[in-house]
Amino acid sequence: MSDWSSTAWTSLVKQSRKVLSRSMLLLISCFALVACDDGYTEPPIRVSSNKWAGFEALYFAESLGYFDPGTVHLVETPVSMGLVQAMRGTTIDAAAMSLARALSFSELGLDITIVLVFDSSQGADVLLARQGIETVAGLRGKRVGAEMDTVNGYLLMRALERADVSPADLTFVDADNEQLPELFENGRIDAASTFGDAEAAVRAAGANQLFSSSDIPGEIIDVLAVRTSVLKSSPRQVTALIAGWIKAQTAIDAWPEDKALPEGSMPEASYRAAIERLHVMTVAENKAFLANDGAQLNRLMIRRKTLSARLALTAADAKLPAVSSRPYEEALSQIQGSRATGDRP
Amino acid sequence: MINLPLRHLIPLLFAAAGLIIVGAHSFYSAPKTRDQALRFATNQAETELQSLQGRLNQSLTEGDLDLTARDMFFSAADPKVQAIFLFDDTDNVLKAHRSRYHGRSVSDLPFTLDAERLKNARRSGAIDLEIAPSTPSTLIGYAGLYADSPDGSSAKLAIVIVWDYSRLLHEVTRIAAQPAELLTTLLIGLALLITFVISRRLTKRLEPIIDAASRIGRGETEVKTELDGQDEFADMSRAIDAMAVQVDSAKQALADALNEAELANASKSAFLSSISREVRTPLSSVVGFLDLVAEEQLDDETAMMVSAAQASANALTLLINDLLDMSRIESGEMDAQSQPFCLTMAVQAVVDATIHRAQEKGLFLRVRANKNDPIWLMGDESIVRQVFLKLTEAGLAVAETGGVTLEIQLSGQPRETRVSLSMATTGGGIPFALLDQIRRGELPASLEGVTGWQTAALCLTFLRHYTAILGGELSIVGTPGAGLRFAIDFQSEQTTAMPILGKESVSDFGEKRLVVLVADSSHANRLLLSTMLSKWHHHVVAVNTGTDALEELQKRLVYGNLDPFDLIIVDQHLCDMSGVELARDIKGISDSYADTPIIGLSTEEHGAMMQSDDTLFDQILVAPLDRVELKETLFRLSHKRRKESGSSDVKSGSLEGAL
Repeated sequence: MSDWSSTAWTSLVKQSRKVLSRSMLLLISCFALVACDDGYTEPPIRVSSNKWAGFEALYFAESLGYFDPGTVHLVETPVSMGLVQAMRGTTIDAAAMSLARALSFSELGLDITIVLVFDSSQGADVLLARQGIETVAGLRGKRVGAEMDTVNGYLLMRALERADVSPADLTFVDADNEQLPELFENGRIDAASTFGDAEAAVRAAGANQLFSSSDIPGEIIDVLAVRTSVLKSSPRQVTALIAGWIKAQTAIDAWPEDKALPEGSMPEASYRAAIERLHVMTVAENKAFLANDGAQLNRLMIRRKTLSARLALTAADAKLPAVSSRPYEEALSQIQGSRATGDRP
Repeated sequence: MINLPLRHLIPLLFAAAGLIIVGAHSFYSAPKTRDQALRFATNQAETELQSLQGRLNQSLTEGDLDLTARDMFFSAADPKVQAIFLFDDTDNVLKAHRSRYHGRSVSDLPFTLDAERLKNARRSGAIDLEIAPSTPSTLIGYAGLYADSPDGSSAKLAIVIVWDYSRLLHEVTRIAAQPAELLTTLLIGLALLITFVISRRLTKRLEPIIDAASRIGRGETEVKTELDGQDEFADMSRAIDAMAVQVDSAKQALADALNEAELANASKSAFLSSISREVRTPLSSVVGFLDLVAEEQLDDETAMMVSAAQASANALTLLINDLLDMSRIESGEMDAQSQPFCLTMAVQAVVDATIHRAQEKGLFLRVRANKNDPIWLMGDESIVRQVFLKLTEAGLAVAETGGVTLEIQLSGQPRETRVSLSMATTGGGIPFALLDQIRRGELPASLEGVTGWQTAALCLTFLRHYTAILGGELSIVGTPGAGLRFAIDFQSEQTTAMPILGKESVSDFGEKRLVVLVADSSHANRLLLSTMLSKWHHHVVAVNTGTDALEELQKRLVYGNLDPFDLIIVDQHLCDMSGVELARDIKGISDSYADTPIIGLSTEEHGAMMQSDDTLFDQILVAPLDRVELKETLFRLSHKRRKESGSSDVKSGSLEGAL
């Protein structure tokens, strides 16, 4: 072997040894990393939502694939029923609901935290009455149906308060929203505080509108409540849920009129009609609601609680749900990390 | 294959073992685990489906669709459930996990359901599970339902659940893989630990041994590793220590032998040198007196005998010169001087000295040169003359017919001249074996029918040394039947011609009577010099000690009636002091003697006299004295004094004209 090739061979051997040493370190690092991974991946957060235009962006996010893979399992609530049971147990980790329902859940002893405000009702919730009853004051001595522990109960109470009508002057019929059209048609109630499909049915039965949520703007809102324990154990999933909703809402806002919407929980026409009477919360509004441990939300909840207490629907010292702005801020950071986000979600 | 060090080999082997374990898991254990997990999942799904079937049968029989929806809601809340459908008796969706699917037919769903299985389940009320063909981790369960009405009629419905078990299967497989991966990690970690420990131990134990071996390799012998213990390294250490002792003994013995040999050689050289000098002094007288006798008018018979005696004396002189040269070469005392000399004259002198031997053998002796004018070079004339002499002697020794040609070739620029001195014989030739022997510098034994090769080989020995001193190259070419050729090439510098005396000038010198002081401890030499100088009509004062010489010189300073000395001749060795010391003392007596020429007589060309201060001696003559050289020197030096006092008649001329 010539001197040159001998030198080259020696150099190659030295180089190979260096490469070998580095490969060995790399190999052991890889094995150590893989071996330390216990193979357990955090389960997705189970989120319940009923069919409502304000929550529809959650389904759009699912259809558009905006949730990080394996982070969110969306469950459509057929009716309001079962949600309390699901939240009490371990079936559901989070749910989209009205603020009123969140308050009632808290009163029931569920440890929940509000992390997002979806929308506020701007006429989507209405107080309807038979022909001949033209004002709220006209309800004195009448039977009024409503799901009292929900937003409809709150709307009714606010209408009475505005009209300076005492709750004692009328008779309350506490019933599920879906049952109200039948009760109205049967003459068992003279007025109904309702929303959605039930509202349309009651209107069809000849009712006229006395009051609506547009008369008390910003008071009837929908929120995302998460079991506090889940918020602590699976913060990444909660953030992914909020980020998916923000991205979907942003996409829908910019969605072309002539293009079919992504698949949601409700028919497109119903959605488009309902969303007109809703105000979807902007980033700034959400920040304002959630800031300072939810001071703004707390004021609303306290008012609601006071009204409910008058009707003895709730205890005066009932516990309010907690409010956390951190998941929303982290979701925003996550989105802004990949692309610039406008003020409007 | 690269010879890997242990610190790489051990982790590599352990890593390979780990990879085999991981590979075995990936190709055997993992699929098995996955199959088992899937079987378990299937059972679980079947149980879940059965449970739901029971609840739905109940709620449907009760006509409570809200309860049905609630049960479906709770089932749908399971993250494994991708979809859940309640089909009516026409296979349209009655309830689903998403209300948007309500009313759709089985074929209008984003899930590939088996319509046949659905029908069978609905018809029989049985439970049927399948693994989705496209995604093996997806299970689809079909279950038939009965909704009995109070009127006794019964509706046949069906429930379908789609489960995604991919996450569960992945987790189970990963968990099953963990032991293999942990074991591999531990193996590699263990390997690194073992390597570290072994490497440290090896380094600690081997370092002193390697260091000792390196030091022994560098020639050090006072090496002790002295490793403790009973292991192989301790054995190796003891072996290295023993080897160091052995090497030390051998080295000492070798040094002793070398010292002894050097001493013996030095003694031999000193003896040779001493003997040669001792022989040279009387020989100088013999040659000188023979020359003087030869100048006399002799009858033919006496002249023939004197001539024979002269030839023998000259041969003896050459022999003595060789002996002196050899001793000087061996002792490293011979250096090349750098003085201008005439190369042409040097070769001619050799030819003059050896022509009679060529004539005796009936050979010709020619000189060729590629330059017609006399060649003057810077260098050592005596060595160059010896080169020519040895070339000639070698040629004459081996040539049997024809003759010997000496050739001078000059090439290149005057300042960087390549000088080639060569000798070529004609006829004869040399056997190959003999040529190889000569080339190797061996002295060949006498070969029958081959004469003179030992002489040639001896000459070659001298030539090798002279070539080395001149910094040249020696080449030997011999072809059987085509003669022998020796050539020496060396680098020199051409210089301008120096003044050379003509015969006429020397003759003119005879008219000037010089007063010469001769200081020589040899009576014969004093007599020879006195006789020669007297014959040339000079006045000689001869003394045998340095003290006497200085006394004579002092006298000249004191007594004005005594003629001052024109020239002083000093022998190298006087009884009471050396020639160099005397010359130095003479220069120190008075400024009057500062310019008095001093000729040194030496028995060796490179002795102490030659190496003394250049200003002490105007000329150094080497014994045996050459009459012509002495005469020239006397003329030149006396002329120099005259020239310094006003006149000059020195001519420049050629060698042919000079002698």
